[in-house]
Amino acid sequence: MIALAFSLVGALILAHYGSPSDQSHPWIFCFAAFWTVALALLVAIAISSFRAALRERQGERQLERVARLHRSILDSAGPMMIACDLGGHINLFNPAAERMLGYRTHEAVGKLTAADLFPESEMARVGEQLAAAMPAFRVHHPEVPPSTAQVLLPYVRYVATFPASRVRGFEMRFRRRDGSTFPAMVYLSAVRSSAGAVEGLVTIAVDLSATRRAEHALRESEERYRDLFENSAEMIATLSPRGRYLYVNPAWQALFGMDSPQFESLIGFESPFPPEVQAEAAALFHKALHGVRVEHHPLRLRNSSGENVEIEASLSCRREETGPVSVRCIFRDVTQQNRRERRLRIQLIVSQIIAETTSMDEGLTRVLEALCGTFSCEFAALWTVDETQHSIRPRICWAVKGRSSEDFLHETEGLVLSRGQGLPGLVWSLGKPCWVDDLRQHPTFNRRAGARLNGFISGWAVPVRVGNQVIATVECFSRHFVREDPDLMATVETVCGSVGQFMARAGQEARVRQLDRQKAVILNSVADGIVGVDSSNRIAFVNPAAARMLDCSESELIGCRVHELLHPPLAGCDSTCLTRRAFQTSEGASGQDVYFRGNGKNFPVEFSLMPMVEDGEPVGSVLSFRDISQRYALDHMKDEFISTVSHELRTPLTSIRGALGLLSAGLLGEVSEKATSLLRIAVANSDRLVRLINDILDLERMTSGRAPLAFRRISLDDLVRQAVEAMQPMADSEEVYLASDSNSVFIEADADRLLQVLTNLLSNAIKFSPPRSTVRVATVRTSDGVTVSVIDEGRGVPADKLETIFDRFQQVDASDSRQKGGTGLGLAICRTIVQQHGGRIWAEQNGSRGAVFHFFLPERASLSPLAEEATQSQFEQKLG
Amino acid sequence: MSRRVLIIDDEEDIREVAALSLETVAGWDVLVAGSGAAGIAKARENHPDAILLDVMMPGMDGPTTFRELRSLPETADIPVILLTAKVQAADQKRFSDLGVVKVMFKPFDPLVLAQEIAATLGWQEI
Repeated sequence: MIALAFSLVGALILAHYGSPSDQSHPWIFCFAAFWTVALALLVAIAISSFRAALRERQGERQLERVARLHRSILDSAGPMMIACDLGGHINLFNPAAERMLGYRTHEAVGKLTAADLFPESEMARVGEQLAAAMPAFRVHHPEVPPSTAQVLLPYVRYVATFPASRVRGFEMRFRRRDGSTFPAMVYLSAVRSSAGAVEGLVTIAVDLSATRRAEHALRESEERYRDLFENSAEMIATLSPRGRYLYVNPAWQALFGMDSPQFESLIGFESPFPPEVQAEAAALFHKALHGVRVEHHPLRLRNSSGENVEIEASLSCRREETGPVSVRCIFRDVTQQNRRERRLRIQLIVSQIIAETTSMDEGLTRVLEALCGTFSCEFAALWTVDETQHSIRPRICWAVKGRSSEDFLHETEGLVLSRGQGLPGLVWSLGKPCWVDDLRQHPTFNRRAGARLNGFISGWAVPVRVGNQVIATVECFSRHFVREDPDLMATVETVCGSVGQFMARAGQEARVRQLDRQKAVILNSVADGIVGVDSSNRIAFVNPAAARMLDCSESELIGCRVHELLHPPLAGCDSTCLTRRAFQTSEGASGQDVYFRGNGKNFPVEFSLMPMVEDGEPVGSVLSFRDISQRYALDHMKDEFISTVSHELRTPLTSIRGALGLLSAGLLGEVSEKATSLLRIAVANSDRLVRLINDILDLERMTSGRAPLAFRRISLDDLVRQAVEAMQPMADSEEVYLASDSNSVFIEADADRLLQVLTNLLSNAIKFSPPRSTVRVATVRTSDGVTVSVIDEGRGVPADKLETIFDRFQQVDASDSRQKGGTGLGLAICRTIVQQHGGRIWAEQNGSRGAVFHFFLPERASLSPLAEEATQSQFEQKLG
Repeated sequence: MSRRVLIIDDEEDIREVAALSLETVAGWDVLVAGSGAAGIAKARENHPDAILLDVMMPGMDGPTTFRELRSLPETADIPVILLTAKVQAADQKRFSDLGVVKVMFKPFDPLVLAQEIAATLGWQEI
């Protein structure tokens, strides 16, 4: 600069002084020219050195910038950047490398070699790979400097071989400081000298682990999707908008029996479908293509094995802004599901029908209708088996409305088939379902003509069973050709099980109704009143006769307490009332009583009460009664008659007896001996006649139940004593001794009647005892009563007569008690009395000599059916 | 002293036999009547010591006759014994409820008839 300034001053001076005044000074002019040139050269030099300096600075700045850039790149780079020299010593190690490998830069640079960064033998392995990748003729490249580390040789050769832009990345595993390894993509390049010789290697490596993982996950994900499609039971296909198959999963292929390439060769969605469904399939595709989501559209196909399958088709379209991209189809095989549903539905329908209908025919018709509806048939018939006739005939027929089935119906209705004959007969005899594919051609189907006329093509028949027995057959016919479907027949057979039970039940119900009707008829027409009583003694049931007799309506009587109804308060009965007692205990009872009508009037009844016991528990009772007013009146009349007859017989006897007695005593004049004898006979027989009249009357009244026993607690002892006393005169006159033991026994009995028994037995005993023998009365108490025995030492009774002597007018033998004035009724009367006490009377032989007459009386009187507890007056009181 | 007894019975034969019995056996004075009405008349007239009264008679029967006798002052005190062929228990109760002294049954033993009557009425003689 300064030089320049001086030069410039010099130039100016020169110029000032060099102004052309004269030519004298030419050397000044040369000098000036020379000075100018020198100056110019100086300036030029200055400028050029200035420029050089400027360039240098620029260059430095550039270098600085590059270095900074270099630094930023290194620092910020994601990938690792590692450089090494030919010996393998690391001389560059960027922060990314620090991160990834776990070494700090100062720990790596100058300290580590390349080999430290890789797992053992990794460098060698990859080196071999690289070597193999290189063209052969370049193997021994002279460019490789001899100082290259062995391990780096292949790498150096590699980068030396290819220009930088052509060096491919390769994978290598790096080893971290902690020994773990990871994959990385390595990009190698050479550090060259200015001469172009390789001085070192630079590695840029990108961690592949994340990438690897992502790749793996993606592959996994792809695999999963693939797996789903490939293994799906659902049939999946994807098509282009033009209808070409892009993808078909194995299930789809199996459906149509074609493989992937075959599908790809098709030109339309509908192509693989059977002809009858093609139009439908094409329509579905079009719908989907135009944006409609087709969901669960039912399709019926035959699959590649020829089986009928039912499909649910779902189609939809994948769209982008450009329009439809693909059409996806998913088919689900719902054949089994549909079958199950049909089976359940038909079972449900039939169950409902059976549960609802009361009429069997109506129910069966509805069942046939339901079967046809479910299985697309148009005619059905139910044939019932008549075991007694060995035939099967149609009971119900059903035909769908619309097309005429008249001819077929007519043919069906007229048939009566035997076992094995015709379709129903065959099913009956085999007990198994039967299918006819083509009715028109079947050789043994006898309704071919009707079938042809009315258009029936296929049919099947199924047995209806109850237990093991076939009671009916159901047959259905279709106007389509339907191939044999064992599943359908199995379903219908199951349903027919219910139908069989329904028919059996309906039959049973009909029988029950019939029995009910019969029962109602019987109960309504019977003349006796029948009253059903529940366990709480309320009336549960009344028949018309009972209602009539009680003068109330049936509804009024139901629910009433039975005893209060029959014996209302005005009856005035107390705790001894037999009827009340019978209803309170669960015992049966029968006898006579007085019931009261609704209008307050009473009437005599003969009743029988039967308790009902179920499983040991009383559940009520049944009372049957009949109005015996008539009979009572009749009995009354009979009583009157007997009474009258007795009176009428006695009256003349009085005269006879009186006259004979007086005559016999000789009070009316002397009588000869013979006459006396005869008179004595006459008197005796008159007496006997009187006794006979008494006995007959007695027995008649007792056995007819008109002689009520009056029970009270009595001392048997007293009674025996009384009897003995009464018979003493007779015993004395026969010279027979009477003996009795004393036994303090009390029983419930009718004293007068019992006395009658004792005197009777004693009288017999005395009559048949020889003089100076003893007649003994013995009393023995037992757990439930007492046994009285009259023992004599007389003639005794033969063994074969021991039973019969208690019958009326029985004689033991020729010389019997009648000769001794007996009536022949005494023992019969005794028996009646004892039986009315609820006891027993019997006779035994007294060892070798004599007889023993026993009678047993229970401690508490239990009534025989015809005994009455109420006294006669009480009874008559009730009758008002 | 001889007792006087009135027998009222519609049967002639019984009247005769009964009368005969009482006369021959006991030696009593016996009156007879064939109906209730006749009997009452006779009783009023003769005032017997006892009356033997039948039950079954047409017209006025025994009980009715008895009630009538009781209602008349002349005859009210005469003891009455019923003599009847109606021997049934119910009848007996009915008769004894009337208020008669005793009920005796036909046929009777003619030899003891008087005895029984005397015993019932407390007559000492036999």
